[in-house]
Amino acid sequence: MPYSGGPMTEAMYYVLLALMNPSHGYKMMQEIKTASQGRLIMGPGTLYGVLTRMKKDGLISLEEDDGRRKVYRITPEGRVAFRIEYQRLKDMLRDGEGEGEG
Amino acid sequence: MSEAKTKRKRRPEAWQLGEHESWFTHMSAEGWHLDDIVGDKAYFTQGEPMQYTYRVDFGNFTEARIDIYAQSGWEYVCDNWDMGVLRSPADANTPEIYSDPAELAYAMRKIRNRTIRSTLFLMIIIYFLIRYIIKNPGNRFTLFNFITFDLDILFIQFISIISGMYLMIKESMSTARLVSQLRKGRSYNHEADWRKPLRKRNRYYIILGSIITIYIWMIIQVNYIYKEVNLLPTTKSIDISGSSMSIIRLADIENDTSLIKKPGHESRGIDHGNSIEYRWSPAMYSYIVITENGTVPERPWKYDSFNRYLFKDYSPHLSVNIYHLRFSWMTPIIFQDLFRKDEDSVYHYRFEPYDDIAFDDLRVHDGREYDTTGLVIYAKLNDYIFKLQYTGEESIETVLELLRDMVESI
Repeated sequence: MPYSGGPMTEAMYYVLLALMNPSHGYKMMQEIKTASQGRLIMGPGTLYGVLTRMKKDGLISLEEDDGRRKVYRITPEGRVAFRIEYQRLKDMLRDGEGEGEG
Repeated sequence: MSEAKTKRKRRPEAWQLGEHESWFTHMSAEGWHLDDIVGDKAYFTQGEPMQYTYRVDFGNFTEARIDIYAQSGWEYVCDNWDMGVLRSPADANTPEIYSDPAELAYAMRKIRNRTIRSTLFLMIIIYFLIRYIIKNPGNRFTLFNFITFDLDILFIQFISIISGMYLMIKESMSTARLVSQLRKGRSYNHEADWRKPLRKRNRYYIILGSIITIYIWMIIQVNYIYKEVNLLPTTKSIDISGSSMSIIRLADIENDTSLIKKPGHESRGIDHGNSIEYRWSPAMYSYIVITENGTVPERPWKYDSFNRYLFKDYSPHLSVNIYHLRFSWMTPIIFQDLFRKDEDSVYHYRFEPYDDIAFDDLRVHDGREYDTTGLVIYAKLNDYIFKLQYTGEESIETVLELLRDMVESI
């Protein structure tokens, strides 16, 4: 499921968010857990899959690689995709305002 | 220090992920820890009993990936082709490797595609092979070659190919089904019962092995009985004048009292130039081959023939094959294939249909006047097929008359 500009999966959204600052695997998992206030505990398999695919799609890039530890960062394309997704989610929230809380 | 004990066991089917996991957990609790996976076998090493949670995963296990897994509490155990195994102490409460089943589906797509590709590839090859065999009647004989004892191995290969094909189709379909289930967000049962699938898989191999073993045993037994009881020795030498047998003989055709036996190649006390051979196969009640070579001293050849350059004196040869088939539907197919195979051979036999009410079908090739192929007759009656090859100078009618007599007596 390569990214083609449509709605993102939850995992993709949070990985992009975590990579606003360069980060590596385990740190990302911690950051995602914190950012989602403990709601999302991302498994290493899911994280690895998302990273591999987003790198292929050009949304993130490898900043540092010493074989064992890989440090990733978001690319300009990734920032654009994140902003589009953020706007989409915001619009969705706005559209459902008043009903969702009830 | 004594070497750690190891165990090798057949693992569940490739797509039974939960069965793998619960089985490895069970083995670790018994003190057998997974060491490696090679093909359809899993290797265990004995140690302290431990409570582990196992998970299987797919894709390349790079150092970076193993590192991420380790940091989140999953210890890498081994990987085989694409499937890898990870474990974590059961009480550690390690988060699942996949928080999203669709991501696992994505990781499995490679193995699924490869399985489907290789299954289709094999199916296409088998399809063209069967098509080739069926489209060329002369080659169809190959398909039935297992009717003769020495080529029974073909039957075993046939069983192996069919069962291999069945397994591959099953694997493709099950893997595809699992991937599509995961993609919909539905995970699989990590505590699936491994006992039943393992028993089933072992049973499958036991049954397949038994069929082949019993088949080989049966053939050996039957041939052994033939030899022991001495009623039907597999091959034995014969005399030129033994016309007490109901089978057509060279002496009957020649009707020349000066005819004497011409010994051929001899091995283990059997004259292979003058012999009778009995064979057995599940597709035939019996298969008899009689070979005879004679000579009449001082009698010149009437026709030019290859034998004339080899032997100064008239030296006729006769061989008779009698196939008694167990399945009548096979008879016309094999009959056609036998003579068409001869037509395709280097000798370029040309068989002409011959009207004779004594037989269902009769084909005759007579090359005695223009080449060295001699007289070849194929005859079919009910479940019997007769092949007769003669290089003497007696007429077709003489030979056919004797063949009719023989058929009547059978």
